[in-house]
Amino acid sequence: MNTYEHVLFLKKLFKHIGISEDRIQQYFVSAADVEKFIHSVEDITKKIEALPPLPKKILPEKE
Amino acid sequence: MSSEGKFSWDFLKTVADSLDSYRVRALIDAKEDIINAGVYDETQYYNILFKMFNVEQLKFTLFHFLNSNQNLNLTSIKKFSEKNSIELRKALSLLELLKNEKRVIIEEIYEKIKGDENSPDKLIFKELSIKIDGYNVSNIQSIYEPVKVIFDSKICSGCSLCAGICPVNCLNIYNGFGKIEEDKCIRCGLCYSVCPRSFLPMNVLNMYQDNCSEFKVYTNIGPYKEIYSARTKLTEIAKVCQDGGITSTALYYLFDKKMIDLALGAKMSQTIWRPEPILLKNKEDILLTTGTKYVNNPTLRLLSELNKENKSLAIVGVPCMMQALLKSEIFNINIPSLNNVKYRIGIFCMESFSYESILKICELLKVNIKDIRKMDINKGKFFIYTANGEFNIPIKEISHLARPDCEVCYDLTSESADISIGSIGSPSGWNTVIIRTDKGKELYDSLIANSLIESKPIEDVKPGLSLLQKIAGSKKNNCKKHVTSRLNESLRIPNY
Repeated sequence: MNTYEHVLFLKKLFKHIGISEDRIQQYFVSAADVEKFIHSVEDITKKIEALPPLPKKILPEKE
Repeated sequence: MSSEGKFSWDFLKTVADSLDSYRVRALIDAKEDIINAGVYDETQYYNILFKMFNVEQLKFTLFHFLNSNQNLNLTSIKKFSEKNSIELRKALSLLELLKNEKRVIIEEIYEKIKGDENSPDKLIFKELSIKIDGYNVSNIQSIYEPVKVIFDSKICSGCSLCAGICPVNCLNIYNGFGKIEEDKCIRCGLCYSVCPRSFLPMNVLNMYQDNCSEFKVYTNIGPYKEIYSARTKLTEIAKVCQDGGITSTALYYLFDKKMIDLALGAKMSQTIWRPEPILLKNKEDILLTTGTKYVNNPTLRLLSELNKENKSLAIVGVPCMMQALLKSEIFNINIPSLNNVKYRIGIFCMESFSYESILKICELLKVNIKDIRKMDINKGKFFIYTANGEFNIPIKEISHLARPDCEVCYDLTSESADISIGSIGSPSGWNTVIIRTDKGKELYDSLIANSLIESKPIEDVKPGLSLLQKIAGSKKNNCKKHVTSRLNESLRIPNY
């Protein structure tokens, strides 16, 4: 199973448990393609900022 | 998506746990193999996957709940089922999964009430004691083994449901012996979770049959509503049937009224007296399947071919098949062909023979197998009818020829079927019919209403219910004996 299918599965899983699919995104960006990289980071931040916050992790107290 | 904010941290923790669960991961990773094998298509694959995911998630919710509580007993399980609005029996089936993964230790405590002369000793359920098995992670068995362990330890019942549901089609059962192609196997554990001989929570099974959520102690023939003695009125079936012809008549009715599209049964193959599974498509096919075959037959194997079409099914089979079907219904895994099973018609079974054993019996009786018209077990003897007359041999002399795998079976009367049909307890030419569920009752009532059968209450016929109880009891005792002796030799036993 490749990464593409794993992301596809995670999208399905998110939908199944009721989280927005937008929380996971996959972009194909070459290491040399700066413009595209910036664009994709902006894209996903914009999408996630629009969503409500998820519950914070409550860390167990260290002994 | 405003609902996202409502997630609790505990919920997300169960999601992570279920994703980590080996059963789910095996399915995710083997997606390509499963779809290439062609048993399930992509939508069906996702249905199965997410159903399993839901079950796992609920299971981990239960586990976390148990972890955060102390003094665990039946009341805590009740509390959990109320909190999550699921039935108590569902919660108990999840508990069974946890027990199998060695995460918890469960003990059922029964109280024995001394009976007097009129009533024998009775067992009454008292309490359930649950203990978390420490935090010993290395002990946990979250990987469900393939059913190879069942084949190897010689307790396989040959019901072949594993072969019927295997997503990559790597199992085959022939003549009562199973084979697995280990290179193909994806270790998803689906086969293990439906196998009636891996683990079988009898209490939970009985709760589903009885449609209640209480622990009850049943008689030797399991939960039932009504028992009748009956025979068919259809002359074409009466001519060829083993005893009363009720099984064939029930199928005839279901096909006639178009309540089912297909049925699974057993017919003779080219080799005489070696049965093979058959898919019945119409009324005419029924006549191919009449008469009892004493050779083990992997009927449920055909289920793997029935995923494509959405057609309702009736399945005729022996007790172990009924156990497997009911178990798969309880641990619902959303297999399309299993969801289509409408009626489970069980037949009585004392033991089955391999084809070679039948040949040996023929040798003992000096009969040519080709001349046999009918076989029967009656009054402790095995009968063979040929054109030249009848031959018989006491069962005791041939019982060593029966499949050794059948020794650990406790069920004579198909306790997990909708309706069970057999001959023990009724006069010859009649069937004993045990109605166990509402569906079975409906079917039987409409058989009478359409005047397809003659029916009498079992109390009115000889030898009656007491004989059935006695024989069922002797099968249960035999099973106990064999299970204990296997335990002493530290062999694997079915986890009833």
